[in-house]
Amino acid sequence: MSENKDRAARGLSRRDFLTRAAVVVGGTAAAAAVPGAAWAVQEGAIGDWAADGSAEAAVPASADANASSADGTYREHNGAAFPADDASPIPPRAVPASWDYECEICVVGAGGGGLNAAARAAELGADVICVEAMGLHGGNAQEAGMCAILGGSKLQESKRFAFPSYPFDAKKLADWAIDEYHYACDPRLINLIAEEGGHCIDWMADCGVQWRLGEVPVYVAPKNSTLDHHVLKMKDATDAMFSFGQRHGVDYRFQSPAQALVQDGDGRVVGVVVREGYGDERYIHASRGVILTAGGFCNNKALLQRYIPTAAMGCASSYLTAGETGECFRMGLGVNADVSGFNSSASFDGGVDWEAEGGQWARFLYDGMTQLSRQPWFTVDRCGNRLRYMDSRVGEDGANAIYALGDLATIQMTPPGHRSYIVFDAHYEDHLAGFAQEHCRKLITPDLEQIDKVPEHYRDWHHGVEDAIGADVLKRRDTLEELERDLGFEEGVLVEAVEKWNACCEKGEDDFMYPMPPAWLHAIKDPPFYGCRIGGNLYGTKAGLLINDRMQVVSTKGTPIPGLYAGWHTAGGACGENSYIGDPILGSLLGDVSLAFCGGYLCGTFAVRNELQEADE
Amino acid sequence: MKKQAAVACGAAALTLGLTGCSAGFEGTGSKDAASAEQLAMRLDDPWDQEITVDAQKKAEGELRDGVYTGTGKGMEGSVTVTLLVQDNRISCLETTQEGESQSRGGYEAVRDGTFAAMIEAAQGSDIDAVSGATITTAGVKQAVDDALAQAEAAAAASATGEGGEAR
Repeated sequence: MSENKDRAARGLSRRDFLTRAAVVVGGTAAAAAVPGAAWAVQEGAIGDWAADGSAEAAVPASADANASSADGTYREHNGAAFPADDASPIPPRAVPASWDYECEICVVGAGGGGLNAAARAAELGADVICVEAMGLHGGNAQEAGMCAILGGSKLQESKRFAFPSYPFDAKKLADWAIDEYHYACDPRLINLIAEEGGHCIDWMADCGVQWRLGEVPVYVAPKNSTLDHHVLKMKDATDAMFSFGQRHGVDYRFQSPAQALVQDGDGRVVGVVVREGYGDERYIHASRGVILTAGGFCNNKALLQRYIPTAAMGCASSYLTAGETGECFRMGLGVNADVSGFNSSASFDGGVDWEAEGGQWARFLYDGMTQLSRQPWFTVDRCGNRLRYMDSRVGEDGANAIYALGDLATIQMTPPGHRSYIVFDAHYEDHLAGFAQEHCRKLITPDLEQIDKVPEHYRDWHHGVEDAIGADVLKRRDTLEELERDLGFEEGVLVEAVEKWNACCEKGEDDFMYPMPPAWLHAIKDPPFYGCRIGGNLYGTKAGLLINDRMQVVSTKGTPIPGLYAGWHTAGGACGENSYIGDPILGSLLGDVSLAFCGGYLCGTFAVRNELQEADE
Repeated sequence: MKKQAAVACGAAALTLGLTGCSAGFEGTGSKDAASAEQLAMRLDDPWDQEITVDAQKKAEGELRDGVYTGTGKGMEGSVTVTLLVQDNRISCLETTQEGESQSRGGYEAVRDGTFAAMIEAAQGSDIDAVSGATITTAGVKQAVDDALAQAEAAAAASATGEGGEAR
C-alpha cells in the first residue's frame, strides 16, 4: 500500500506530514529525472522527498550545527539544504553547424533585470529573444515591496527630495556613496548608478508602470499598493514591463533554462544554449550580443563560501526562492570574466535557521516565523551579551526606519559564531501589537490588501510559527535550562543573561548601552520558553561579474569580453568590496530591486548603442 | 464524492479586523503596524484539509495494468507523476518536480502528496488548481495525461497482439 493511500486512510493532514518530513527528509526520486542538471534539486538534497516519503537524507543533530561544533569559529551550513552547491565555471560551447533560433540580442532571465533589458533593447530597435528558466516572468523582483532610490526621479523631484541634499546632483551622491564604501569600488560605476537610477524609474513610468512615491521619499512603489505596501507588490511593475516588451516584439521563451554561452573563435560571445521546455538543447544565435540578467547566487553554497564568506556564515537563510543558483555567474567565469564586489552582500534581519533542522535554505520571506523573529525580543550572542535592536517604526525619520532592516542584519550576522539567539516566554503573542514593527517585519494577517498574492498557507502568520515549532526551529521547552542546552549555549550563559534581563524588566529600565524602551521590557519567566537561532536573511549577492560603465563584462585580462553584457545581480561591484548591506540604501545607491531594474535598463541601452548603433556607423 | 472534505471558513474571522487598512497616506508618515485585533485573526490552515478518495471510482479508457511515469512542464523544471494501474484503477506512487523552492510553484503540494491524492480522487487529470501553483498544476495534469496515454497505448498494443511491456 502506498504512503498516499495509507495517509488517506488514516486521514493524515498536510501539517502532520510536513512536520514529520522536517525530521525524515530527503530522497532520490525527485532529482532522478534529469541527473546532473545543476539547477535542479540535487539527489539527496533536503526537501526533495517524494510522495511516498521513502528516502531519507541525514540531518545533523541540532547542536552539531551550532556554535558547539568542532570549529565554532565558522558557521558551516548543510549543503544539502541548498538548491545548488557548485562553484565550477561553466565552459562555453563552440559555434554549432546550424543555429535553432536567430536574434540580435539574447537576454537571459525575465526577472526585474531581464524584463527591463529586453524591453529597452526592443524599444531601441533590436530583435530580442528573452529566455527564462521558470514558467512565468517576474522572478524574485515581483515579490518585493519597494523600489528604493535616493533621488533623481521625477516623483522625488516633485517633492524636492534628494540625497544627500536637494537639488539632486549625481556626482555629489556618488561622492557620498564612495565614502560609505570606504573607496573600495569603481567610482565610474557608482556614478553611473547615481546618474541613471532616476532615469530608469522615469523610463519605466513611460513604459506603463504606475509609480507612487513612498511615505518616506526614499522609494517608489506600484501605485495600487497603498498601506500594506511591503508585501509582494512589485508584480504590478514587472507585469507592466513584460507587457511593454510583448508590445515591442520581444520573443519570450519560458521554461527554457540557459545551459551555456556560445563563444566563437575570436572570443566573441555569439549565443546561448538553452534547454527548451526542460527537454532538448537549442542553440540561440545572438548576432549582436548576450545580456546576462539572471540574478546572483544567494542559493549556491559553494559560490557563497568562495566569494562572499561573510554571508555564507552570517546568514541563516535566503528569501529568494526563485533561481539564484548562480549558473549565469558561472557561465561568465567560463569565458574568463573577472569578479568584482568580493565579500559584499545584502540581507535583512531575522533569518531563521531552518537548514540546521532539516529545512530548506531558501524560504518564503513572509512565512510568519520570519516576521516573528524580527520583533524586538531579548536577543543575545553565544557569550550571553545583549545585541541592540533597530526599530523599523516610521517615526520622525522614516529613512532610518528603512535602514534599520539592513543594519539589524549586520548586527545579527557579526557576533561571535556569526549567529544570534532570540528568547521569549509563553506570553509572546501579547507583546506583538505593542512592538508595532512595520515594513516586512509586519506579521501577515488575513485582512491585508492583495492578500491573494501570498500563498494560502501563509495568509495567517500563526501557521508558519506552528510549522517552526513543529520542526523544532523555534524551540519550545518547559525550562530555561533545557532551552539553553538545546540552543547550544554553555551551561549558565543563557540563564544568567535572562536573569539580568528580567531584573531590568522589573526595574522598568534597560541597563544596556542601547536600551529597549520600557514598553518593550517583557520579563521571560513563564513556561513554555521559546528560543530560536537567527542570522541574516540573504537577498542579494553583490559579488558578481566585473563590468565597466558600459555594462560590458570585463575579462581577467582587463578587456571587455566582446558581445557580453551583465546587469545586477549577475554583475557585481554595485557597492564595492566588503560591504555587509551595501548601504547607503539596502543594497547600493539603489535598493536591490531598483538596482536590478536599472541594470537591465542600462544593459539594454548600452548593448544597442555599442553593438547596433555604433557598429553600424 | 467530495474532493475536499474540509473547506476553509475564514470568512467569520475576516469580518473582525478590517479597520485600519484604508486611507491614502502618501507623504503622511502614518503608521502601518498591525493591531492586536488583526494579529489575533485566524484562518483555517489549508494544509490541514483532507482529500477524500472514492475507492470505487475507476479511470476512463482502456488501460493496461502496469506502472507508468508521465512527464509535464512545471514552474522551474519537469514534473513527473508515476501511476500504478490495476484493473483501470489508478494509484499515484510518486510525484516529483525539479528545481523548485519552498512555498513556490506547488512545492509542498508535490511533496506532501496533495497532488497525488487529488489524482487518485479524480482517477485522472481533472484536478483543481492548487492555489498559487497554476503552472505546476498544469504540469501535473500534463504528466498524468502522458502516463495514461502510455497505459492506453499499451492496452491497444496488447489488444492487437503486439505485446509490449508497460514500463
